[in-house]
Amino acid sequence: MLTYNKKKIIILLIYISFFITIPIIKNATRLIEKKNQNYENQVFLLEKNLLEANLEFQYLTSPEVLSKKIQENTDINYTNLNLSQIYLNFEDFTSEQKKVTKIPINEQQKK
Amino acid sequence: MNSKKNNKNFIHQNQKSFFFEDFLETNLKHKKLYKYKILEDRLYMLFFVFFSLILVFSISILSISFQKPNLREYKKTNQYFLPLRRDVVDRNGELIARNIDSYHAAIKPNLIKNKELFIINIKLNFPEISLAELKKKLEDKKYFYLKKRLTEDEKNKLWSFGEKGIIIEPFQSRIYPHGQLYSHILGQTDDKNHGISGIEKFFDKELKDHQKIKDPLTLTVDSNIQFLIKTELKKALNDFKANAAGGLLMDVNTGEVLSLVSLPDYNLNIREDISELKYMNQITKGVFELGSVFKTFTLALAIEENILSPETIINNIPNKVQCSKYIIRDIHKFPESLSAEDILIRSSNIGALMIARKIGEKKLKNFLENLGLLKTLDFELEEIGRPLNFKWEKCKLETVSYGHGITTTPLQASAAYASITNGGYTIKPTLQLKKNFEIKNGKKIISTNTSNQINKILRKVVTDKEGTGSFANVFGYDVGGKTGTSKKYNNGNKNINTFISIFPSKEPKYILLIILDDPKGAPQISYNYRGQVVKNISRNEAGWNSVYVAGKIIEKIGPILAINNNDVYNTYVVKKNN
Repeated sequence: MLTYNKKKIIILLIYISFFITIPIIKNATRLIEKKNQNYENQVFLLEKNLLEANLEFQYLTSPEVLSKKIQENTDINYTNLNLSQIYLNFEDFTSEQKKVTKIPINEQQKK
Repeated sequence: MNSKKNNKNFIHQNQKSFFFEDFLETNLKHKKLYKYKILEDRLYMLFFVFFSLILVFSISILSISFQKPNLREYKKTNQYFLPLRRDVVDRNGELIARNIDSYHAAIKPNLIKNKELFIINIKLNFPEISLAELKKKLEDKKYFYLKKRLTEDEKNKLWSFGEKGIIIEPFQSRIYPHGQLYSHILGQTDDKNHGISGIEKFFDKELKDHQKIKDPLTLTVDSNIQFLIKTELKKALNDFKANAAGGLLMDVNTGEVLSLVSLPDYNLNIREDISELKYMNQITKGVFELGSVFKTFTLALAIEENILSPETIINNIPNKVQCSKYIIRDIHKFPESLSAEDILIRSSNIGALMIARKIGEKKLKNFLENLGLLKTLDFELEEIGRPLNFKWEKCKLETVSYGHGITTTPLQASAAYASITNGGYTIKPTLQLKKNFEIKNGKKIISTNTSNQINKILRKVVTDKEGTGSFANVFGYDVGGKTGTSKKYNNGNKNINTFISIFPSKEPKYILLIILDDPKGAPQISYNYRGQVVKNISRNEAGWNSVYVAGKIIEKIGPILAINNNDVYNTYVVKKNN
């Protein structure tokens, strides 16, 4: 009889403890869910803004718009690069520049 | 046991007689007992109800606890934007098509109380809307669209009316940030986001694939190059007063189309009904007699078949040849003896005809078929032209040898040139950028040796004194090519001028085709002809317009292609010596 009652009490206790803890956990989960939702909404808004900004950027930097803006807002006449003016890395460029600048120094030494 | 106990208890202590019950007292007692029983039943009932409620609540709490939280539910709201079509980007990742939120303004006439005020508001804010039509529609009392594809300002204006009857209907529209630049490639979509032309139609299913909705579709085109070619072609349209113009830049090994321009074009963001023939895609849809560019195919086959070598001298070339009822002649007078390569350099019709007669009809026909010039090309656009069918009857071999009496699209001609100059492998032009593309996976149609020999001759067409393509000799790019001047079919004296160039000619990487429809002489242009400035030239052969335009384009796009291509840079970039 005693063990039977003990069992009953244990089951009842477990039930009551579940009954108390589940809503607590559930509430905590809901709060986390809400926070999560807010964050996701914020991310979504940022993503949307980014997409819009990106679209605007793509339009404003399209070759056609850029060339129009340059013509409208500046007096600079851009010309095409020749192949000889292209350097694929900065080292090539600086080595070329060094070669050019060495000439006057040598000439000064001769004088 | 319990019943006996109850019976004993039932006889009250104060009862005097066993047989005569004291009803007054027992009645009271019974009443009391009865009341207790009812109370007890009520308590049980209450407990049962309470327990049931707790059970129901606890079950529901447990079931909710085991449910997976639906965090994505907010996406069903208006705020969330999920595109219906994928973005389209160029080979550098630059955006060329995207879906955005857009709105239509619809009207429910029944909900508009003060119709006169509403009409006045519309008149003030949207003067372009016809008021007579609006009044009629309001009287009809049927749901109608006031304006489609509203801008943000227009939407705000309509909101500010505070009118219940105005319904702002959200929908997705397709935006093309480059406007006109890709009009002949991208095509358009309808109001329901279905592709109706160009890439939008060809890749419609793929662009609507929800699994890949966030991954853009990458095309092979390059926006900067496309713009530069378009700018030069637009200038050429004005300079040479041509009806239409087209340009195509393609990788000779992979078939990737880096640029495809057809002028005149139209703005993809504006809905217009375009039915004029000149708005057709000149490169893919236009089917033309391309003229002398076909001589390259004739010579390539002759070299491949060991009928002759580039240096073989062909003697006794007549001025004119009678073929059936037709007389075939050259535009200029050429020497009686010309080497095989000179025939291509000077572009002699009679010379090409004599070579073709040595080759024979069957071989030439097979070769042109292998080059894919006689059938419809498989390409990722809906707007594809079909070469006109013809019978190989009398004189066909002769005329086909120099590109007359045979039609094809400029895209097919470019693909054929790519096959001849890339070492002899057929290629399939493509607009979709594919990773791990295997170079030279096509069918081998001529030997590498023949291909190299043809490349050398094409270079001479540009560099030789007698060559027809000297304006394309841009320093540093080793350009080769062939001109083609032909008459427009059934169109009197109107020309179709073509120049197909390859560069660098020692090991070609790119092919550039320029086509001008009915160009006129341009006396206002100062040509730099072999080191001399020449003015007042009113000639309108391909050498004086298509080649000139190709030269200008290569000058501009060359550096971009060189920077993007280490091989070209290392081999062909002229380094400073100081």
